[in-house]
Amino acid sequence: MAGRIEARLKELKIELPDSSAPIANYVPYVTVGKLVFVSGQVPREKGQFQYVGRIGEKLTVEDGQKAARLCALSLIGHVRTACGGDLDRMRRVVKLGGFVNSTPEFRQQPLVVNGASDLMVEIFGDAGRHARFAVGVQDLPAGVAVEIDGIFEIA
Amino acid sequence: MAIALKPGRATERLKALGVTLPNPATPAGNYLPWVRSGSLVFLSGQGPIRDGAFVYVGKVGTDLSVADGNAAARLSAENAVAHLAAACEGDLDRMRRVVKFVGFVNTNPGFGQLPKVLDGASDFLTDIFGATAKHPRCAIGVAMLPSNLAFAADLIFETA
Repeated sequence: MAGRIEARLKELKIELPDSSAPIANYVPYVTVGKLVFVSGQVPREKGQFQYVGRIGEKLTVEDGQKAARLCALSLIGHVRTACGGDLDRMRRVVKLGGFVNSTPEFRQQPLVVNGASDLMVEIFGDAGRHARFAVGVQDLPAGVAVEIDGIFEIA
Repeated sequence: MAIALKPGRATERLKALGVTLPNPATPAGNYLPWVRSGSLVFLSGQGPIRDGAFVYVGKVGTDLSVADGNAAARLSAENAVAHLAAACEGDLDRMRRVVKFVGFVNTNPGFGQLPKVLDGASDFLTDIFGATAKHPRCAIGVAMLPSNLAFAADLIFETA
């Protein structure tokens, strides 16, 4: 669908992934009124898990940022579906939850989650600015480095 | 105190599955078990506790099996439904939608089976409420949980 955001995606040479099917008994998103609640997304490309491992061990901050960016692309892919294909209906990124699979000593979770936050602002401008948290965790599905969930407001 | 459930579809379903909901646990600190905002009910984290007893304690993958973890997730969801019943004056048929579920598993690095653990809660919710309980979720492995409990469930429900 042609629109302002689709044009922006093209300009940034970003292709959203096909909305991936959940890996267990859950759904990718639920819409309640104007809010869309999206499941935690993990870094995948063409259906394959990417960036498997812990940050601060096998993987660097930069790897983590790339992983977070992939999570954000998946989130936006689901929001596009929730908007009936028209991302111009995305009004506000309300909240992102950033979970970073990292060693106990690792302290730079915010830098990692910036990989997702920066992408939201790159694509949506001011509407992409959001509240968020970034925490370090022991394990994530498939052992990936980052998982991010989100709440979005749509028109 | 457990809230008296009103007769209805969900109550029948609990009975058919032989489930007695736990007494909703009192918060462990300065917070509320749930807050309602319009049609949304936001719950505090729920653990595998039954009537004051910590049922599943330890790390899933070492102290506890994946099956234990799955049962811990289910019991946590039972506690959530007990609070939801209170938020709905005992009428569980007012549950319209499970809006979001975040499952925190007490585990070790490299555990690798988080989704199987969370399914204990997801399967219970869909068993009781049917398709409206299908939800988005987030699976997280953590280093520790309150009282070293094996699981914590954070849930948002939409109600009528």
